[in-house]
Amino acid sequence: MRRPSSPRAGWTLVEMCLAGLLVTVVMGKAAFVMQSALGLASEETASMHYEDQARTVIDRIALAVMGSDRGTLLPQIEEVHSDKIRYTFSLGMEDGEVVWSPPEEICLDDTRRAIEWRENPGLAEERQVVWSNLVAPLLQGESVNGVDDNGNGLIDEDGLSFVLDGERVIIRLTLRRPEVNGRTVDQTVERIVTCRN
Amino acid sequence: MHTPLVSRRDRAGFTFVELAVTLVILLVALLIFSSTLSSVAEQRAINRESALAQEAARNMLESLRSEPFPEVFARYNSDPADDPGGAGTAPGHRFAVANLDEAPDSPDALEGEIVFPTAVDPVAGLQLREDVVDRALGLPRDLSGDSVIDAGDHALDYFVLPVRITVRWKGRSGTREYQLTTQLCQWRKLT
Repeated sequence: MRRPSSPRAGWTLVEMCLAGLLVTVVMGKAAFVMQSALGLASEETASMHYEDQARTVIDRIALAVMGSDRGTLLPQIEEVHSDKIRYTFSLGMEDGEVVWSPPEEICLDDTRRAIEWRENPGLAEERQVVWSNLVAPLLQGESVNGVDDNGNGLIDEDGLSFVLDGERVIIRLTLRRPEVNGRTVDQTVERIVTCRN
Repeated sequence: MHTPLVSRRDRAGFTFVELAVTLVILLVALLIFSSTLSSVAEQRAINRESALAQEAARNMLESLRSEPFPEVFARYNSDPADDPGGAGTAPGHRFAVANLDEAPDSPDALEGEIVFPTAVDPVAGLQLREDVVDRALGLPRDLSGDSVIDAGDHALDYFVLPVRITVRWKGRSGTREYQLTTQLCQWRKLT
């Protein structure tokens, strides 16, 4: 005998369970995919941001060193890394003579986290500008153990290091910033420049 | 008492089919969203590879600049026999680029190459030549400053040195290449 259908009939319990299960599975997967994708995108964005910042900072350093005279660079020790460099650069010619700038210095500050550009360092008219305050304590891959951990030929180098190699100056920089979830993002850039003056 | 007439269809909620269709639409939207994010990530990786290649080429160019100008060709050409410090002592024409994988067709697992306008003479070997046809390098052109384009070797008397630095690597989107072309000149310090 055919059961009369009620005009108020909705889903059966089985249909309800099946639909609920389906919705739960699909929504759960969707949430998982969204969370993973957004997490990845956020990490990528942070990584790109710091890489951009690292490149901007090292470009500024490179331009400053590029305009300098190799003979005026301090320290003059080759093959040994330094966390600072002092230089002067040519401002042009006047009466047949090269006019040199006041001495400038690029170095890490006392906290070892910030790169400072200084004009007339140590003098009364000294000016300072902080170019970045995200410098890592050590260059990426390095640890304080008296060994060259990252294979660049330097031992226990700082997050900012200068190496004079003949006419070249090799600049290396690692920026680091802890993320919200406690993970850190390191970005390392390297630039080789030759003094032009 | 009068009850308004409402059909069964109007009273019923979602059917199972409707729910399924909704979920499919949701899934398709999700797929589009995730593929967009994936494309963005892919593009970022590609951009990063390009930045690394550019940086490596620029660094190599600075290394060339730092050498004594008359020795640049001998130190960075593909012939180890003419290295100023003795055969095989110079860096040569191939170099490695950190964080990039070599292209599948790389002969020596290195990514970078320095190219000068050269030709190989069967007797004399590798020569720096003015008569090489290479539009990107601006050749043929006078390299020695004698206002003549000839077929001689100018490895020892060039005053302009066209150079192309190529970085070729296996990227996420296949084999990729970046080229930096410029000319090095003899320059002197102001005294």
